[in-house]
Amino acid sequence: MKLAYFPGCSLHSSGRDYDKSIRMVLGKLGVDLVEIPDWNCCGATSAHVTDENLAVLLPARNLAIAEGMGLDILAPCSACHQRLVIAEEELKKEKFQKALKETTGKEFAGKIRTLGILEVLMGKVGPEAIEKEIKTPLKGFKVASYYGCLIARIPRVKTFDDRENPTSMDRLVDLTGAEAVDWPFKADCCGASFGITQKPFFHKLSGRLLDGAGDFGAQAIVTVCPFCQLNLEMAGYKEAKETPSRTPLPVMSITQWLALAMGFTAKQAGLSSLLVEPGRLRETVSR
Amino acid sequence: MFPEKAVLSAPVDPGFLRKVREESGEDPSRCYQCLRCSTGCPLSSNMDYTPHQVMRLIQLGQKDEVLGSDAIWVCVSCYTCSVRCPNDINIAHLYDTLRQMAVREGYEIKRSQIPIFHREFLGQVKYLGRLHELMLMGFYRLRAGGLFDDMDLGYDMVRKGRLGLLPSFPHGGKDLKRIYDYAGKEAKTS
Repeated sequence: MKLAYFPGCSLHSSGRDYDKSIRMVLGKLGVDLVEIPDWNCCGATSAHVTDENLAVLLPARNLAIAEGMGLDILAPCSACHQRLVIAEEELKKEKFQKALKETTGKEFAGKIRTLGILEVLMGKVGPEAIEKEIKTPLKGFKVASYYGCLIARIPRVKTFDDRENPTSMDRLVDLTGAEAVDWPFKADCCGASFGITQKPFFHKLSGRLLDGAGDFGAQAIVTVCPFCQLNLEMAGYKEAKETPSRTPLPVMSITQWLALAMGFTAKQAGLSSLLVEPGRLRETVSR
Repeated sequence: MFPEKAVLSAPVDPGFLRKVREESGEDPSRCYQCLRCSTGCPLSSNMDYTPHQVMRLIQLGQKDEVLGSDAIWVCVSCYTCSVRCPNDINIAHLYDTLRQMAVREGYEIKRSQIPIFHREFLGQVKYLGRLHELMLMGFYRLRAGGLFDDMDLGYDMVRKGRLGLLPSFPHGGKDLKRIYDYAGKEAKTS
């Protein structure tokens, strides 16, 4: 299987271990990723809050390039994924088709679509193929799968997972030999860009997620969105600085977790770059 | 259920509902106050008006109350309200329009850091085509204050290779300039 790859800005920076682990894991599962040449930022929340045209045309340019490659897109970041999917919908309107042509000389006919990492893993590759590659099952670990807001909450679009109770990542965690905990905050908001602009709200939202995952028995949190991952880590990092007696939960991307179960080392999976030490987990998997 | 104070005192703009509807493509007049939005909103307890109240205020033409509210800036765009609305009002998207109207019409924004952040973000994308996280943080903090906040976190992130020091070469070529020019032109005529 071949996909056009839209890493997005985060995966080239704070989320680079997510990027690395996606390439490792999908490589083993026989998925070829071709990075979209000269891709640009999707505009994220800043564009849709500020300007309707930027919110559609910034992601639209990437859609048009990928359609030229004749490939569906993998966009692992939930924010990028949501903006690309919404742009696919908006580009059905003549107004935006014309604007795309006028500004970039490119066209988009809607022949390709944008997939998230969970759809690629559980929908395209499939659980059987993944199970075959599990070399070091992570038995004995309880993990909270955290989906965040945007992966399944795209209004008026049929999404891969259920909006209220997504389950594909839980099934993925179970495949790795670990136990996915049943917790009620799996699709609640982490605070998003309020981690930078509105700290009190951010700590309220992220703190509840960290405490909640721990309270329901999780020893680690896995995520699909690089921004959720960083936000939860930042919240835990701050908690540990302020109250050294507390040991916040480690938070990593689902593909980092999967890489560990597929037999990659902790170092290869990027565990040494986590801001919150993965403690016992690292000792267990460093075999 | 809806804010009496505002309804009794503030001036009414009868064209407000129509303008919001036209600009957002969403129809707040379909709201019948079921409260699904406000009960699901993770920050409704921090808002001066909760989402269902904002819908009611729009229906009643309370333009100043809505565009001058803190609530439209407390919204974190999590889309919980949008996917739960039984009347198919994409409320999070409607709030984008309200914020744009508030900025355009010069309403006072108490949480000025938020538009500063978005401006810096989009400014960087315009010239570089992609976002450089460390540079965004620098420029944002220069404008919004707190330049030396979280230095320990920033240091650890750089040390662990989680923040690149230098931006990449610009991407997107002339396309991005033309996209921004187009958006600027359209914003002026709306």
